[in-house]
Amino acid sequence: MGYKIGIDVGGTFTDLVYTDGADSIGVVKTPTTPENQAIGVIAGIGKIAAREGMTARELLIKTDLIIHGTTVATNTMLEFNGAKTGLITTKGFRDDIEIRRGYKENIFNPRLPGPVPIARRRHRLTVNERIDREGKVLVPLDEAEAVQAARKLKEAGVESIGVCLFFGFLNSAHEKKMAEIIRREYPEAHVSLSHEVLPQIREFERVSTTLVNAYTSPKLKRYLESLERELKGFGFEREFFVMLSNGGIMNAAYAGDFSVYSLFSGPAGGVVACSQLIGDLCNEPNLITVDMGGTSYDISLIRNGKPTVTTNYWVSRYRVAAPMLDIHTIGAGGGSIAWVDAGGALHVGPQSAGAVPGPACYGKGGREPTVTDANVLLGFLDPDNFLGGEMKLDRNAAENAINEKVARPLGLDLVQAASGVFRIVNNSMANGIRVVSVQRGYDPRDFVLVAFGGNGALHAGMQARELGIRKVIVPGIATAFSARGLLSSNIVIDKMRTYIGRSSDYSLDKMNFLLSEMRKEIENNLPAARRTRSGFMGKALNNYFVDMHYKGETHEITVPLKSSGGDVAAEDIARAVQAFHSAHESLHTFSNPDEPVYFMNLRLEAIIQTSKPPVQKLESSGGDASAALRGERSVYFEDAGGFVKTPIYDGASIRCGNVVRGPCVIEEPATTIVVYPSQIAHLTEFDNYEITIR
Amino acid sequence: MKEIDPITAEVVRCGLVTIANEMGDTMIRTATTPTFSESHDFSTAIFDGTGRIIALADALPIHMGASKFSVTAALKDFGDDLHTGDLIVVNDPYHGGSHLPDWTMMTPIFFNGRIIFFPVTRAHQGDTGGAVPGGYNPEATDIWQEGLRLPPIKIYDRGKPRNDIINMLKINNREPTFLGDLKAMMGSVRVAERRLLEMLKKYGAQTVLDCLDYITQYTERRFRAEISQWPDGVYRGEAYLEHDCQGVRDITIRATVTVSGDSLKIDFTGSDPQTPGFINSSVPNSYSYIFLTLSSMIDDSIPRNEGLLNPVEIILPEGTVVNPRPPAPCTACTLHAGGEIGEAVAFALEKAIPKKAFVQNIKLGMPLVTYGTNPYTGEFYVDQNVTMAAGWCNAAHETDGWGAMAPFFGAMTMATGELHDMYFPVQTLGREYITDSGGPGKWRGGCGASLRLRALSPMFLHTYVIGTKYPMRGFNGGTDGSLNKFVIREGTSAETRVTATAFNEPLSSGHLVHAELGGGGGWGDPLERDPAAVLEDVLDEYVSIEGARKRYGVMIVQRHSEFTGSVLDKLREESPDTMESHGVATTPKEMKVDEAATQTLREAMKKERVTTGRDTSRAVKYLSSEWQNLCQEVVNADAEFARMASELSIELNNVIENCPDGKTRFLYWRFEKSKLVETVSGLTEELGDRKPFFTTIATYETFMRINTAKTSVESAIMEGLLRFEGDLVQMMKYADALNRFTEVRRAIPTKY
Repeated sequence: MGYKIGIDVGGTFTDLVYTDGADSIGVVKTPTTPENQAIGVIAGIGKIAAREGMTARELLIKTDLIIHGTTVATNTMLEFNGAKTGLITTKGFRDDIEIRRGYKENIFNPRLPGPVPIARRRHRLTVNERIDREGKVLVPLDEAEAVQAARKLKEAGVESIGVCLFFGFLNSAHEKKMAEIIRREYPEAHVSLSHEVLPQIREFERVSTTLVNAYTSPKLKRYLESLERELKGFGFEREFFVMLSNGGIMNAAYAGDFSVYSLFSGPAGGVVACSQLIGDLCNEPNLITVDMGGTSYDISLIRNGKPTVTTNYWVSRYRVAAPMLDIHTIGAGGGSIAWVDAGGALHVGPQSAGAVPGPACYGKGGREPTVTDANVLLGFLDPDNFLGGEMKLDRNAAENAINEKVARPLGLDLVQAASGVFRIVNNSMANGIRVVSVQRGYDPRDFVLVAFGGNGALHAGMQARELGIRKVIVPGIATAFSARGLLSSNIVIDKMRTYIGRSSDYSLDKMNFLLSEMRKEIENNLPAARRTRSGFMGKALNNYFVDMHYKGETHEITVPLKSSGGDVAAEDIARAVQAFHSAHESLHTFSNPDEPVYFMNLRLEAIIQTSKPPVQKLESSGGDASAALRGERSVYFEDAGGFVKTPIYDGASIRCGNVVRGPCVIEEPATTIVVYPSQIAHLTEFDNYEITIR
Repeated sequence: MKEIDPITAEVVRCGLVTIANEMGDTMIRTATTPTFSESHDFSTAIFDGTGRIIALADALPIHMGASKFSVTAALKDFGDDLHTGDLIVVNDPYHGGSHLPDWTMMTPIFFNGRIIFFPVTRAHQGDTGGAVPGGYNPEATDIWQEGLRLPPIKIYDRGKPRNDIINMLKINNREPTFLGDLKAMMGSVRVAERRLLEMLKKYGAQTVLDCLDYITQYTERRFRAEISQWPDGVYRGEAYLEHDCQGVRDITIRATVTVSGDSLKIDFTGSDPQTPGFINSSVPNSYSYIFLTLSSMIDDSIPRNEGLLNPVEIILPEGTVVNPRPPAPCTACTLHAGGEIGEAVAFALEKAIPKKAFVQNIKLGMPLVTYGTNPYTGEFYVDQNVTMAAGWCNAAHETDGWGAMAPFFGAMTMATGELHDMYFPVQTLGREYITDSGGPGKWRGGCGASLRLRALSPMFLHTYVIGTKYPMRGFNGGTDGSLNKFVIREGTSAETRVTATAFNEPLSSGHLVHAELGGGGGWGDPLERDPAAVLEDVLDEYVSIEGARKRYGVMIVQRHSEFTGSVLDKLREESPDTMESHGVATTPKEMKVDEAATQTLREAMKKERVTTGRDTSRAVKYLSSEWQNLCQEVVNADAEFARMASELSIELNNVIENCPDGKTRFLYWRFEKSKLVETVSGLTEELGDRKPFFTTIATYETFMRINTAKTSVESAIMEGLLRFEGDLVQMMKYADALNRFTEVRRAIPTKY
């Protein structure tokens, strides 16, 4: 067995987690190199090699698998520096992407400009053709027009072309023909076809998703190709996979062509890690996961062991309807800036001081007060032992910033001001958790909170208390948890087809035909994976789902149809309809079992299990944690009445089974865990801290 | 009130907004009618026990303000007879509702024996009984013809359903999903109940009440701080609605906004009387539009709550279209005349805060409704087609209009063509921007859209069309957007252009419906738009080359590139027609702005504007000495006047009442031998011993309307707006000459 390496590129650090297949798991961190993420990645691999006592070449020759979580696609949408993109669509539908079903983000602000155009109108061309609602050709594709459109986009210097034809998902002949023409006239162009990217009804959602794909793919593809070339140059010749937004991994070639599927490549690893390493391993099927870094707070929900997936995203003001893990992000991180508005209300974020200049206490020229500055003043963070002592924090700078920008404008003293920042940020995080739980119909009290990322474990105890959550889990490798998740991921491929039918009137033949088409597509997507020599992949497991709704409803519920592949039978449909009624009942408080149920889309999720790194169980060393007690300092706990002498533990010295009682602080090398008054924490056999809230 | 710390207040405020959003999510998840679930035509809010609005969800802003009247009505009607577990419903516009289709549901939240909160859900019902399905009845001349009227009634009493009442509501409703939607509304207020009680337990009632004071005072403080930066003065604005479906035309709404210090007075005195048709705006609806309009002019980080209402005094004269007496019908008012009420306020404030004033209006009329037998199911269907609404996006300061205004201002979403075609027997043939439809301006109005549908089976259609005469207007010298146009059975001998209403119009299979929805108004002088931006617009075909020249004064030249592809030449020979259409230009072109020609053209256009009187940037103030001099100049240079006046010598006076500062002024003219030799204006006592032969008396507004050709002297006389002192019979002899004088005066660009 060779090495497996998970690489997660974050905003500040690139984390690499690796295993040689037999022994324990290693972690290295290198600074992220935003201009070309590959440099940081290669540097990280060099670091692993050094730690393993070999050269990078020797390491990579022995490496079977590299799984990459990358923010290239996300950043392309955030920074709007994707490919020059064009669109070819059906005559009459040139402007769907701009009309966007009339949606405007802020109706109270007429000065909000339109979204940055990713395909300008001049590069959106139409062709005469029409497919009808049954998939029949009403007007054949005007090939002369098609040739001309391709040439025009070529001459305009468009690099990437999206093709989205009306009802093109019902009959892809015209889109395929269009692709053929583009490839003949302009072979250099990247082509995204709507029936491949998102073969489902609703032309706006499809054209938007297709254009985001067209806009981001060339860049991600180039990046992945150059990184793979680089790795090959060092002797790597095995599998190179990329984490996708649905929580599964796919080979780099596929990921590069469908970059819209990897917009959440970064945060997805953390959610997978929670589901596999906390959910499955610790038998905690219902989790709320929070990842708090320097700039953002990513929240997701795992129910019955499965991360929740949504198709309702807007990314940088563009609609993306491909299935993605339901990760809700708010602008609350350690670097989030506290500010007082014109009316004298205190806010925290969404602006962040980032890594540069960073919080005032970093002493890198930051003048704005941040959450981290407040945490220093409240005693949660030790200025002399930050990041395991790698960095000294400037307490005076934190004081000045909070004083000047918060305390003075509000007429509060320094501690009141710092505690105000702490309360406001905790409150917005708790409200963020409500969005993914209460607002989706789930009670947070039925969930365990998993907190990771550099800052998650400092605040988690407060959100748990606010929301009535009884248990918080902080993974042992909290700061590289996303990278760790990459090593535990399966290959997951989602396919879909629109099928409009009713429970009282449907065609099994048609449904089975569509399912077989999807199965075939998956086989075609997997050529490289099938040839793998590493043997890490198991057999594909095909799960079918169906989107259903009652008459008049326009939000569908996805329910399981069949979980073992093959053809579906009438019993499967009947079971799915039953499942829909009860899902409707539990999600929406009522059901109408006597009414016909409408079918909208068929979905196929193919899961190919991968071999996972072994998990080590720790032996208990008993409850006594006194060996890890490092000392005491004054820490501010509001409900304890202010500053109290608080025990400080050295996380590296805490052993499995050790118990500590709040209030106390555990200082891990890269993160700080705060155990609040009346909370108790212990280290579990799987190297996680478990905090119980009374 | 005890000193509350701002941090706790902010935590409570965010908590309340989160609860209001939870209520909204419950609605989206549970409603069975697409108007809720897909189009989000509902709103949720939390009020306090005295009826103050505390927190709003991010939903339909046109409901904001109106719900306050529902809570107040419930408090008034039930008084002490409110209990935990009561669910109250109201829809009557004369008893706390805004129009019958919007039902408001609320429940009192008691804590320690007193009402602390009222969570409120307001949702547009698919049906409300009445004469026609769906509630929009353009034929209605009284409110009973519009639907079932509900003053505040309890459908749950102390936690127990009142089945008699619920059954009564059910049998008065055509919509089979009605009870489902009612349940969704109940679920939504109950979600709030649970969460609000948790909050009250956590903080205690007194702390929460103190926070509510803090929160509303905070908003008020910030709103007042903004108003105090607006220049003091009296500002007037008007807006017009084509018709009321009952033959009343050109309905005018007049708003007079007085800014003084940190408060506002908004007075609609002078607005047209209520009409027989269903466009009358109930008081709650008028409030909603006023606050919606003000809301989009202020910093959007100011929390929307009761604090916005306190600095504003509103006067809605009874019996007018902004405050009708029962039983005037009201159903259309949430679009029209509601939109026009906001428009009048915006155009008044345009003069005070030109960079911030903005109109939240759409020129929709009523969505296109078709019905018939659906060949796909064999069942009767009603298709309230919301795929068609797209257009009317005004430009704002530094922002081009963009996207499309769906009903109602973007909180709702349009259905997609594919899904629509899948369910209903129509084919969506396209929905695209119309070139040159956006109003030109320094910032361009958003383009309107053209929509074509083909009927695939026989069906009936009805609609109510406006925006065919009064488009979305430009601001601060920006030009208006294009007009709406609505054609049915296009291209057949039975083609009809709908200008007011179409009712039960039959369509056969294959018939086309073509709607052109107007563009937004521009902001600022189009001749000041950056030519580079105009070039970009031309490249994107928002604006044509011709439009750039005529409307922006920008000359764009194109160089045909040397393209040698033989295939293309061949294509051009084969099918010249198809290639010109829809974004596929015949030849690759390179365009650029001809800077010199543009400069020359723009100067010429500005000059022409001055002579034709259309220059607003160079406008002079009415009655100023510049204006007086210009009057003298133009009339003395006018040969036509000289001919008509033939040696006329006369002294004339005008008494101008109710000038913007409230005073009365005179304007005196002395003609000698057909030349205007003396013009004097001042306060009445300054007339001195001048002895005019004839005096005309009217308000400032009337003179303004005459001078701006909004009305004629004759019709002003007929309406009794002009009074005279002197020998009218003698005066009539000079009528032609004096009419000519009025005409030439109109050419002077004048600010009022």
